[in-house]
Amino acid sequence: MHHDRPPPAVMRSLDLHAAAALLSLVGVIVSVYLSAVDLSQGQVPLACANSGLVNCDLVTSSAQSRLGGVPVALLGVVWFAGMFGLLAFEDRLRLLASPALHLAWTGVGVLMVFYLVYAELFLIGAVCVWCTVVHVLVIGLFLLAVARSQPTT
Amino acid sequence: MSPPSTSAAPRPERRSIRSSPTRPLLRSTGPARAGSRRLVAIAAAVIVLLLAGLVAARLLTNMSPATPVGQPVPPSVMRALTSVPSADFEAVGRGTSNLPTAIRQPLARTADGRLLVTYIGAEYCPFCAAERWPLIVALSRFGQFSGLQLSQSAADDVYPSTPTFTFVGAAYTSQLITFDAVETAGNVRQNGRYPPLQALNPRQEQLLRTYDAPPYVPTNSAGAIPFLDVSNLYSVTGASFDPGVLQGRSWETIAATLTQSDSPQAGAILGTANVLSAAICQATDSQPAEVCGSPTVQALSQTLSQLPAAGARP
Repeated sequence: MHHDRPPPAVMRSLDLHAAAALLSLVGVIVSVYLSAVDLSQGQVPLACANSGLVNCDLVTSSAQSRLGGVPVALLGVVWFAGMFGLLAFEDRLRLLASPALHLAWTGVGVLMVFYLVYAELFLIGAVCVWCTVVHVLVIGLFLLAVARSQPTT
Repeated sequence: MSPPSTSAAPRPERRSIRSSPTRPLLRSTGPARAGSRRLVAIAAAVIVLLLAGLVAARLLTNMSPATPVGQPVPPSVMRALTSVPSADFEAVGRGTSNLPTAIRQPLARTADGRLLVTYIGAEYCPFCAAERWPLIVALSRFGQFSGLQLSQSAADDVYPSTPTFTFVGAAYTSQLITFDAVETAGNVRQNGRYPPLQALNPRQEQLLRTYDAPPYVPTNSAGAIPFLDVSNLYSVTGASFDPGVLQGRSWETIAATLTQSDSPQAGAILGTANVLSAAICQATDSQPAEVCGSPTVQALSQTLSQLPAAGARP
């Protein structure tokens, strides 16, 4: 029988793929913004509270905001761009479509989220709203990777 | 015109556009979708539980509240310290600052001809904690700091946990001034003592013995810290203002009050910065002009010039 629109399972897969691509894109944008704030040494304003428990300035300038001297925000740009790349080109290159690869990539992101939340709570004593947005995006991408990894036959 | 064919041969089954050798051909099956949703829910629940566990661990442990001590000074605080508008300096004037002691000895310079400003303090010391604020503000008018970190005075001393900075690990660059800072001890007791941090060199020891002693300071204040020597022209022993004005406030809050010229914090910090700037300007021969030519700095320089010199020439 000729389908004049994709079957539901394909639609669902497309939805998940589109959602993951969207989250990755948003992640790139937010990470680029945070990187710009970091690298401009405050010339690019950080739109966030700066006192009390919510203190984006303190968190984004903390010692824990760098990994091996590289700003974590910049690592975020690389990670989200990599995620978007996987999604954009998975149809063209078999390897990129591997569920294991997507799970591993997003799993590394989730582990990083755990470390950064630990750093905020135990080492810095403040949380950053923009960082929390990034954490939610990473977790969302991991869950989408879990969903997309499941066969539906 | 022939009618549309209703008996065309069945088309070959199309592969899903999402299928690949590593991804199974997709067909809609209820139990499989339910299983997928269950797995996602489990994964989400695990993540949420782990994060909740982190939060709970933080709330329930007996650890001292995490403080930003040891963290780099946030850019917003740094900007507040180093970019004080001239109008704010002028509005505060001397504020609530004490005046330094006039030494009026030959100017101390480094080998490259820059004027030597020496600070001797300790991280536990609440009076040092207070004095670092205007010192950073004043010196930032003549040069640039980097590597400053947040700190607090000792929690078990008077004016406990006064928010401040530490000069350990910091650098100062200026065409006019060499800033020589030493923090002699930390701010958390270990085996009943504050741990030593940086040792005094012979020149610093000599400075303390000479100018942090009578007749420059009262006998009962000899050797007190903080001690600040502005090129052997003026010295400051102890805090120039009451550290109490900084109590119970965060670094960000204190920094924000610097723009409120009628606030006690601005009166203390900017006022002392103005006094220190005037002292430094006398040593730099009124350079730079944009600092030393300001009405407030000029007026304070006049005031300082009228101070009687303490002690005779050695």
